[in-house]
Amino acid sequence: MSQTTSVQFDSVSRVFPHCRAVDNVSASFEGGQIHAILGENGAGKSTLMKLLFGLLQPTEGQIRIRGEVQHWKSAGDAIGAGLGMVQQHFALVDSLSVIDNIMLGYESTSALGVLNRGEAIRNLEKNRQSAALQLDWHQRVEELSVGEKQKVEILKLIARKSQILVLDEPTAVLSPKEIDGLFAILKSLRDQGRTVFVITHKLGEVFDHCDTWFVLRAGKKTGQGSIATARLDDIVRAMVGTDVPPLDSRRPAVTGESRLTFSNVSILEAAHPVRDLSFELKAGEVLGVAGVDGAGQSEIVEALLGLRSFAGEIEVLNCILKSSPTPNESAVQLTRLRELGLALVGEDRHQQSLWLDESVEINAAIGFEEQNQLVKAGWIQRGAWREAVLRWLNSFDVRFNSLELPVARLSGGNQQKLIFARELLGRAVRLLVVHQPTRGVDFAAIRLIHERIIAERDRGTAVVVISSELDELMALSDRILVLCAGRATGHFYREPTSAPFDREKIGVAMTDAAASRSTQQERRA
Amino acid sequence: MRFFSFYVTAIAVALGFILALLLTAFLGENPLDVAWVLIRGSVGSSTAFGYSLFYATPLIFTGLSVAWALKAGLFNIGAEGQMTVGGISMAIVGILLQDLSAWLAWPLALSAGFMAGAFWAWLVAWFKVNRGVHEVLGSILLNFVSYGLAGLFILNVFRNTESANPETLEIGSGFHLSTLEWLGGTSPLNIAFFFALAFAALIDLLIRRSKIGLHLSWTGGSPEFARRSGLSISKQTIGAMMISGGLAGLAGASVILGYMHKAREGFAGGAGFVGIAVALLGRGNAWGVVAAAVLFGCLQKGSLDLDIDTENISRDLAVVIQALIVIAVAARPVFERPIRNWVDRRNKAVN
Amino acid sequence: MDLFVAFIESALRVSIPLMFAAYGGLISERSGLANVALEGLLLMSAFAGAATVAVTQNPWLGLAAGIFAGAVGGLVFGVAAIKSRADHIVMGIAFNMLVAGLIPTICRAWFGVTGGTPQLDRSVRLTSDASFFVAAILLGAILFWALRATSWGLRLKAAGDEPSALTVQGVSAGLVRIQASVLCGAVVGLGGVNLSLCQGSGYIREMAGGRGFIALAALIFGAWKPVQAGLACLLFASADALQMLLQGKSFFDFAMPNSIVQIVPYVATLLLLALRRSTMNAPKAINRPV
Repeated sequence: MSQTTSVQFDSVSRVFPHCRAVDNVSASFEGGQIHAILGENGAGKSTLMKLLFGLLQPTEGQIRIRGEVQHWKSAGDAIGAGLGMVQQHFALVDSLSVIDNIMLGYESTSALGVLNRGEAIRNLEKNRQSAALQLDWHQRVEELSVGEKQKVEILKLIARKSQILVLDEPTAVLSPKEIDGLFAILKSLRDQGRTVFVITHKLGEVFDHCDTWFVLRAGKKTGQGSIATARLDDIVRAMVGTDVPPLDSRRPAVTGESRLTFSNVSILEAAHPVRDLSFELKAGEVLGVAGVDGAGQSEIVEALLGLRSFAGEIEVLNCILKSSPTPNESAVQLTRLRELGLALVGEDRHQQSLWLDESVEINAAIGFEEQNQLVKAGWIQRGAWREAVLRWLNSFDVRFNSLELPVARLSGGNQQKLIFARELLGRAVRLLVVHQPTRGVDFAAIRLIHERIIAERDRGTAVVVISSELDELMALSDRILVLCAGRATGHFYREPTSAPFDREKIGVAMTDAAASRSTQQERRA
Repeated sequence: MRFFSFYVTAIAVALGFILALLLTAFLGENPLDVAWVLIRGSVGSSTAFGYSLFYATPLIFTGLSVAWALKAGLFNIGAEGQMTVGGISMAIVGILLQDLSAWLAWPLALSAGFMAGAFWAWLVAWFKVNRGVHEVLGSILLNFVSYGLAGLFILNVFRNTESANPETLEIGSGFHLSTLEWLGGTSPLNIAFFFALAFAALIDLLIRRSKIGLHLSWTGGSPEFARRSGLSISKQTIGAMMISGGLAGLAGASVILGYMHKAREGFAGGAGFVGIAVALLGRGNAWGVVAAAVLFGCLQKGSLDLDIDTENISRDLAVVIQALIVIAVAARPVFERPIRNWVDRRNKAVN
Repeated sequence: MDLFVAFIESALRVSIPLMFAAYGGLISERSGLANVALEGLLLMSAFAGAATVAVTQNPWLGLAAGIFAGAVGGLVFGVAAIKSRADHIVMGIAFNMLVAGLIPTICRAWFGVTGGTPQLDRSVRLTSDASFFVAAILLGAILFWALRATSWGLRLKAAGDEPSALTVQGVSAGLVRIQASVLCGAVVGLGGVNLSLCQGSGYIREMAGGRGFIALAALIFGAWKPVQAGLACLLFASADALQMLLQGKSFFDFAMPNSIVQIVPYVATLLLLALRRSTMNAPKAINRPV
């Protein structure tokens, strides 16, 4: 194992028009190790790695690779110098085959630019590590599972002979078992002398798999060290700035009438089909839905909004939903459900819950203008609208410079608080559906959002929380339903102890082997 | 912010003009002479300016039409066809009901134009919503169909056999819109211009203050969010297209009811297409559309004199200028960024 | 029988410019550049070809000029749409407007009239429809092969479906698109030359008559695939041939007005497009900035 310094940052800063994303960072990283790059969302981790990769240029300072100052202008230069990066959103062309994706940009060709796929495959199979990944070279990428797609990304790096690998949030979409598999691959690459950077915010896997840790907060380096000698508290303090007290103990759930029932529901015409799902949610409780992304969560949300056809029976707020509505019918039905007290916080905030180019003022009330009497006879009541919005935004501690500001300019945390304010305030909410409540949200906002979700429960609202963050679900839920590949694979009840849920068992249910295998086969068929 | 946006648009317009005038230099004209011809021809006298406003009138309607659809994220390039069927319908009503008095005739003709245009655009929306045909293709194909239909009425059904020109019979005198001599001199400028302004005011109010306008822009601005909040995208699409088509359907009023008093082949004269440029330049703001329409109306009128007063260029230069302006407006980001940085730097220096 | 032969013959002839425009559009759209500028490109190259022949009396120079003008047009459209990060459809429509204004302006400056180029004598035209047709079919076959087998095709498809996959490899997806647009223009240029130097005798105003849009419809109908798009062109061309056949004919003593006959190809295109919902095959990143 080589112990030479591989990557060195010398007082590196990167200034954007409105912020210093990376602020005077100096650090050096040894070769042949796995380095964890930690920090909250927006702390500057991705910017730092983009600087390393040549996708951005530093405003001040310099970056040295193996002692040499780098002057790259594009990703191509970085790849040529032996760097490789796996983005959080995979840069794969779904419609192309595995081998075409690996070759893309570095094609080996014969005369007339004809692709030499055979040669590329032979080269990959000669290499022990790439051969060990066991992929069908000719399969189309869209048919692969998330874990397999990640393998394709890593194969691209191996094929380019990258010596320094950067992976941005590689485990966000993987099941616990797939995470172990990923780190096994990364360790074997490390043992060959490669340097690996893993951007993450999951501390568990850092302790299990990484060699060193490095923390950024608000663009500044706040800590670095070896995992062998690290203490969890130190790392958390470096990330957050203060110690985080645990969430207040909560009173037991007082449940009331039924607010949401799924009876033998199947959603088959979908990217991630759901099969034979049954559960009931009562007023005054929080149901957590656990599972890796793409286990059918989005389909369940769309079905209970009445935007998707399904088989079986769904009852929302005492309305039985139409099982195959036309677009117009589902709009009428959804409007009715919202009048009855349905509130929704969508999974993809920017697409599903915000109108990004529009002002904070409009975003904070739109969709409920009728219920809140902000329109009269079809005309917008500007005064009432502004007054209501100010009240709601203050009550959720949303920070903004001006009501006219496009909502896109708010931070992730403030955007999410604004959505909660819009959905929850000003009317009687009876069912709250929250999908990914805190993705891309800072710690302070997470805390406030969690408190408000519990407060809603205590007020007697029925709450569904869908999240891929198990810790979050265990903190919020009275019950946890586990999904794997579209089937319910476990149902866990909160125990009145210090560890209310058995993390291990939930993890096993999330990767239920039988369920995932059967869907894989169906997808291939 | 808003002021800044106005500046950037003004720069885009100026760029379009400068490029086009440079082109005239290449074609052997003195660009300053060309500019003078354009200015004198469009605003040089009250009659000239009357003509400019007369040309601007249909552009206000088609510009509002395209802008309204654009708010909902729909590209209605079929305003020309909707204007054609709208105009023909007005003419048909006018021909069939010769003796109607003005108080009944005007609203009747305008409703006919609106409804015909709305129907024509409804077809586009129907094909989009139910059969997945993109509105750009649907509306351009229906443009060609509308020319055929108009031809059928002008050349066959209602042809005036005594005229040497391909045109219909005269509409009843009750349908004639009053001309505005006090404003436009001897030009055919007529009261349709004020109808257009009234519609602009209405559209402006609807977009800024009404739930309909809010939901329209919501559908265009964030369709998935709107859908998940209980809006029916297909209903919004159909509604938006029908209003858009109706507005375009009214665009023929000024020409048919106010000037020709009959329908001639090709009476729309490209106003539907120029409307696209007007809407893009007006940036989805009803009064911006009016300003853009007046500018383009002046350009059209001014450019007519180019045919006579210059050796080497023709009225088609107006189209070139319009196209260049649209390109410059569409490419705003390219020069917006440097200007913004410059303004920021200057502000900092002042502070 | 003669009628049938005449129908087939005219359908094949009409399909030539459609195929060139559709293949050009295919190259551009598969790279992610939505192309409603086909109409403008056709007009531009038709005019350039005819104008060059009118000046030089050499049809081969005309052919070269048409292809070159198409390529330049493609370059202008591609750079304007990609570099400005504007909506491709807005840019395409503006490009069509620009061409519609420029041609008569230049026409007047060069030939003294705005309507078109002078009539060209048969001896200086490219009279072999068959060669154009064979070229179009060959082009389709080459495109079919190149999309699968070459690195050009691979990068083209990547730029159209997931441009970031190229960017992270240090390949500029924008450049791939601009190159595609230039090539598109050159291919459409062949169609334009066919219009003005083979089927027509010179350039006349608006001579493309919506063919650019029908070609776009054919390309969509053909699910953005070369063989299917080629067949779609033949189908849409038969509707046009039918229209020509019906002109001036009468049925059961009822004279079909020409204005109604003329709309046949447009109505047929619209209905066929509605019949086959092929939009789900669109390149995923079409009309998205890179």
